Parts: sequence; structure tokens; C-alpha cells
Amino acid sequence: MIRKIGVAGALGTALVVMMAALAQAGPQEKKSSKPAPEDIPPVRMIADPYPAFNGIAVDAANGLVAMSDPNRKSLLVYDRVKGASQGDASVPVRQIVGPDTFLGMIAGIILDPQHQEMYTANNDIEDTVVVMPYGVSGNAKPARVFSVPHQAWGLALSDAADLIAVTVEVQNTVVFYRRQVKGVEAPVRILRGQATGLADPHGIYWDESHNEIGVANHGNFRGVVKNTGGGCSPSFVVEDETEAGESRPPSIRIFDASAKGDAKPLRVIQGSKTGLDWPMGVAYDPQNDTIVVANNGDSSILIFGRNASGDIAPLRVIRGDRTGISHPMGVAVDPQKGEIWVSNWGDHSALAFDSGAHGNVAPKRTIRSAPAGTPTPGFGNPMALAYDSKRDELLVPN
Amino acid sequence: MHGIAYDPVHDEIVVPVHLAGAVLVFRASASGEEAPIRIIQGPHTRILRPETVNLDLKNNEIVVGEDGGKDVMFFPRDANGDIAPLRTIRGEKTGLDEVRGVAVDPIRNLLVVSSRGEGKGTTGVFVFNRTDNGDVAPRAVIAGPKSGIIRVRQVEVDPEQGKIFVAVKNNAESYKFADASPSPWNPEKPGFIGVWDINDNGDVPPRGIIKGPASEMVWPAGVALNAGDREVYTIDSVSNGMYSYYMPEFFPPKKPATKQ
Repeated sequence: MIRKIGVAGALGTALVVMMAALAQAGPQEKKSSKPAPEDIPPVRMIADPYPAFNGIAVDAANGLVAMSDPNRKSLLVYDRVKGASQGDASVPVRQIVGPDTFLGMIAGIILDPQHQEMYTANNDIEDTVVVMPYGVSGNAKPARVFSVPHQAWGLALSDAADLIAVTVEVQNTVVFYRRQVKGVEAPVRILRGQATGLADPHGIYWDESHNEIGVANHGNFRGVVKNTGGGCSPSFVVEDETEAGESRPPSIRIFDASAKGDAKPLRVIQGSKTGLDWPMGVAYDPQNDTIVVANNGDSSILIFGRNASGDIAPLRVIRGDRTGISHPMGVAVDPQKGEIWVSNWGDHSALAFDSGAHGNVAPKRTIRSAPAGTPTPGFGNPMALAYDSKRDELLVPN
Repeated sequence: MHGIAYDPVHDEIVVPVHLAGAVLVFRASASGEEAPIRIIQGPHTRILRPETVNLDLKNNEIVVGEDGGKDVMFFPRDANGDIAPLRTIRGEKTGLDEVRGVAVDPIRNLLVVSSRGEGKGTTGVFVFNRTDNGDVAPRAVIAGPKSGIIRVRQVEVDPEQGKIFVAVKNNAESYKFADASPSPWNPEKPGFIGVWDINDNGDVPPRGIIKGPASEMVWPAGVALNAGDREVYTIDSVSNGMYSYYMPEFFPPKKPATKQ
């Protein structure tokens, strides 16, 4: 029995405190069957059997909304109108899952209606981007897979440039590949360096109409360490402060879309007035000329003017108990229907809001990956745990 | 964050922040968005990529293991700010590569380190003297085919028994899935929780093991102990599940004191 599951934050950096009823599970409740001497069943377990939404993308032309699911390692595609549900789990048009899919700890997702392809980034283990053709389901093989640096998170696509941009957390980098990249291939260009101010980048959007890209940064900065090709190697020069860790304020950094190397951003949204707190997914809304941010830390959606710069408050904020927003990971804009889509990590749901929404408003529609009210442990590629003997709790960092 | 430790004496939680080159200390009762009470961060710390942490409460130290740094650092438990480490185990002789777990046996004055050897390095469990400093060879290394260790993560020590508990993750680079939930992946060489004696050395099989389909483990990455309730806990990075095992054979009851 679980007494309490407190989810305090986001995938990658959240601390999940799980309060199990350890004292109540007395010896009489222990299972004794042992299929093999060492094959011992657990007396208790906490795992989420349902998909958990991370990234989200909309294809307005084909009426689709798609989510990445790092919990069950799948991609889910829904009809963006018919997929809505009241309380039951929504039925996807397709779910791609299985041994041949190469899907793992997936994060960002984008849809390419023109070429009928879905992209998703394997974030923390596989170090690949998986490209799936439209229309496949089940244990489908990707159209192609390409290697990216460790901890790739966000994806953005430009039809005009025929490029895909990938954010990389640990290297504080945006890496650009040609759209049809396959296997191990050198990037076309890299945006990286002190002047960029990139610090633990996550979401990214590509605004082709203004030739800009915007990048959401958590602010964790571990120095611009030396890239030896296979990863980052420290030099152990104590005096080299560029290699020391820092905790910077979170930011949205907007660059010229053709920027490369150690380029300065055109504009930076950063500071206490912005309300930025673990910004995850980010999207450009052409209808309203705004930047939409999934603000994971305080379970809100922040909307800034495209030209916003400095320590400036958002134009609008969608937040509150009526919104259903719970530790959002992704945002996507449907310009055809004038909607903002939000994927929740703190709930098994994705929400559609009017793109002009603000305040504590209910979503127009909800897509659920589990029946309403199903608890979410919030585990995402967990790697350690500790026992709190005072509270009889288990502590799990994500 | 890939590590965590609880301090029952001071009621604090310690976590490494890989992406910010920092170690944070929180009140154990912290909830929500609460600031840490101490931060170890900055160029003098020489922390680069802290992967794992643990506590030596007898000697009042925080132990930090790094993957990119290929080292183990010791800081005062109450360190705060840009503080130099008390000691650092790093260098060719150590055999350490990507450090994934650290634990101290304060009774025997030993340090246990799990390290993943990329390239020519050894993947296994390394045992050092607790006060070792600099480029020093380990006292013992548990590794090899009989050990079953392919990839390792978190380690814990039960100093009362002199036992090492290891999350042997054994993840491979090529994945296969199974149909059953909640473990959708079915790698050919699943991981396990292995128990070794702290005096073991070389290619030694585990003296105790939890492993197999009934265990639900695929790639166990974490291990924690509750000796009082004779339970072992693990967290699995594939199924995103947390499992509790009742293991009285791992925690034999203490013998009553014999009257002289």
C-alpha cells in the first residue's frame, strides 16, 4: 500500500519521495514462493503500467496529436479531436511499442507532415533519434535511426532548411543534422560555447517565419568541458573556472536559426519576473506571435511575446486547479484550431487549451493514457534509492 | 540525479547534481520546491560530474563518486560552498573509470566503489582503504565472468555483517522487449542484486543473489537496505519500478550476548 507519493519536479532532476507502508507489511503478508533459489518475488512493488506522456507534437494537416512515453517505451498517436475522453483512458489511433522499435527513455517528439515521419529522441541511454514512418503501429521498425550525443532531449525541424535541431543537456549544445540523417553522421553545425549561454537545454522550437530558434534552459551548467568526440573529458585544471559547475537562472534563449559556434543569442528571457522554473518544452505560436513554455516547476504554461527580452513577466499564464496542468513536460501549438496542447508528467493526460487562454481555466479537451485519478509514481529512468529510517520512506531521485 | 543518500543522524538528504557539478544537502523533511541547506559547488571543489554520493557518519564525511572525473572525493559532512575536498582517489593505479556507486564500512575502515570500465578499464567492485588519497591501487577488485558483473550501479555496505550489496545492472547496448508489463524489456542478460563479503577479491561469484523473472528486475540500478525489517530495495531503470524483497537470509538475527 502506498500512503503518499510526492512528486516534486521534473524528469531528469526531480526528487520523488515515496512513502510506502513498510511497517504494515508484516511477516504474515510476505510471499514465500520461490520459483528458483535466487528468483525471489518482491513483497511489494511500485510501477506504473500505463504510458506516461513526455513530449507532445501536433500535425494539424492530418488531425493528429502524438506523445512520447518513456515509461512503457512507446509512441502514442491520437486523433486530436476524437481522442478526447471524460474519465476513461483514451484509445490511440496507434501505439508503437516493441523490441524492434528502438524506443527507450524517449523525450522530445516532432511530426513531419510533409514527409509523413515522426521523430523522437532517446534521452539517457540509447543516444539516438528514432524516425518512424506514419501509419505504423505495434512492434514496428524505424524508418531510420541516427546517433546523437548523450542526453539529447529536444527536437525541432525546419522544412525550409531541411535540417533537424537537437538539444543536448550535458554538453550545453544544440546540434544540427540534415533531415535525412541516418546512422552515425557528423552534424552540419553545432551551437555551443560560453557566449551562447546554453545551460542544460531542453525544449527547442524553430520559427521559420522569423528565421529563429528558441531554446529552454534549466540553468544547470557544468562548464564547457572538452569534447573529445565520444563525450566530455575534464582537464582537471583547478584554476580553469570554465569547468566548474554553476546553477544559473533558467532562461529562454532565442538565436538566429543559422547560428553556429559560440554565437550570442538575439534575445534572452531570464530573471525573477519571468516565472521560469524548469522550463521543459517550448513552442512558437504563429497565430499570436508568442512563445509558449511548459513550466514544469510550478505546473503552469507561460506565454511570452516573441520579441520579449530580459527580465519580463509573461503576457499570460495558464495555471491553477481547474487547468489540470501537472508538471508539464511538453507543449505544442495547433495553429489550425487555435489551440495549445500540453503533456503532463504529473498526470496521465494531455490537455488542449484555446491558444488565447489565461488564468485558471479548464482545458477544452483531455486525452488520457490511464483512467482519471490513476496515480503517477513519476519514475523516469531511476538509478538510485535510499532508505529513510526515521520516516520509513524510500527516496528515489529521477 | 543518479545518486542519493539519507543521513539518519542529522536527518538530511544528500544528492549529486551531475549537470551542475554540485552536491546538494536538503532537510529530510523537505517537500516541494525547497532550497538546499548546503551546496558544495565551484572550481575549488574540483567536482565535475558527480554521479553518486554516500555518507560516512562515523567520520563525518560525504563521499562523492564521479563518472567523468573517474574519481572518489571526500568532503566534510557539513561542507558548504566552494570547498576543496579532504581527499581524492584518482589516477591510473586506482583502476577507476566511470564511478557509479560508493559506500563506506566504518568498522573495517574500507571504501567500496562500483566502477564501469569503458574501453580497457575493469567493470567491477573496488575496495580501498577509507583514508586512501591520490593515485593508489585498490586492496581488492571483484570482477570477472564468475562474478556475473557486466555493468554496475549503486552499492551499499552492511558493516555489521561485512557484506557488500551491489545493483548489478548488466544493461547491454542492444535491447529486446517482452510483451509483459511492467517489464517491457527482456534483455538476454538481466541484472541482479548481488551480495559479496567485503573481504572477497577477484572473480568471485556472489554469496547471495536476487535475480530472475519472478523478481521483476530487468536492469536494477539502485540498492538500499533496511536491516531492521530484513528488506532489500531496488529501483529498475527499465520498468521504472521499485521493488521490495524480504530477505531474512541476508540479515541473520543477531546472536544474544553470551554470559561469561
